[in-house]
Amino acid sequence: MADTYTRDELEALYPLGTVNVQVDDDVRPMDEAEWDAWIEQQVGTEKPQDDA
Amino acid sequence: MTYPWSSGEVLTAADLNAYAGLVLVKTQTIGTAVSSVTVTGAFSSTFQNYKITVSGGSSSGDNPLYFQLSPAYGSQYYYSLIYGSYAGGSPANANGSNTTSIVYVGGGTDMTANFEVMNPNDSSRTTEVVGRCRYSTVYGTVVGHIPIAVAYTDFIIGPAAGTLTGGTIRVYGYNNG
Repeated sequence: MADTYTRDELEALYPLGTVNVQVDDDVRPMDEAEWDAWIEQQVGTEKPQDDA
Repeated sequence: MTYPWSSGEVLTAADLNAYAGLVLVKTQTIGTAVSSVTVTGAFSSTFQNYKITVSGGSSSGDNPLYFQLSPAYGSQYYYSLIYGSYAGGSPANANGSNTTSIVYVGGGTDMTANFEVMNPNDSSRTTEVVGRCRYSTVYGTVVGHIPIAVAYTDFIIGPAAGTLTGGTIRVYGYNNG
């Protein structure tokens, strides 16, 4: 079973203001509500594993 | 005029329209550290079916890529991935029903994708997606169904986890002939 991300780890990895959303050529940082929902969605996702 | 062309023949617009194969509809450069990319104006009544490729970029993790028509119109996406591992073992399945996207249309740290979308702009037919996915030890093919018949023009892609940086999304239409 692969190790998974906690919310604290994700907040450290992707601080507010560092994650963007894009529509065509318009790229903008997530606002706090979007970022909070996105971080919550990422909790429990698997951490990268080393390739063989 | 009938293919193959002969030396000296003059090709008309009708000839070119009839014999074009894949037509590049839209090219979209991916920004930095984006969680999703919405591509507008990709689908129209000019083409029934499409090929979408993603290449040249990177992902913050080794994850699969998801695809969503926009707007999503609720949680009615269905998909099944049959995959194996380069390390061996038996084939396995990953699937989703009543979800908001089709996952596994691409993936990897270089986030590549090459999948096909059938009928996205035809409000009389539902949309099907066929693709392949490689990330981590997962090597597989996915089939998805979006049973909401709407004339979609836009779509969204993004990594199932983490962010994307750089690379290009290309949308091609299959000439209806």
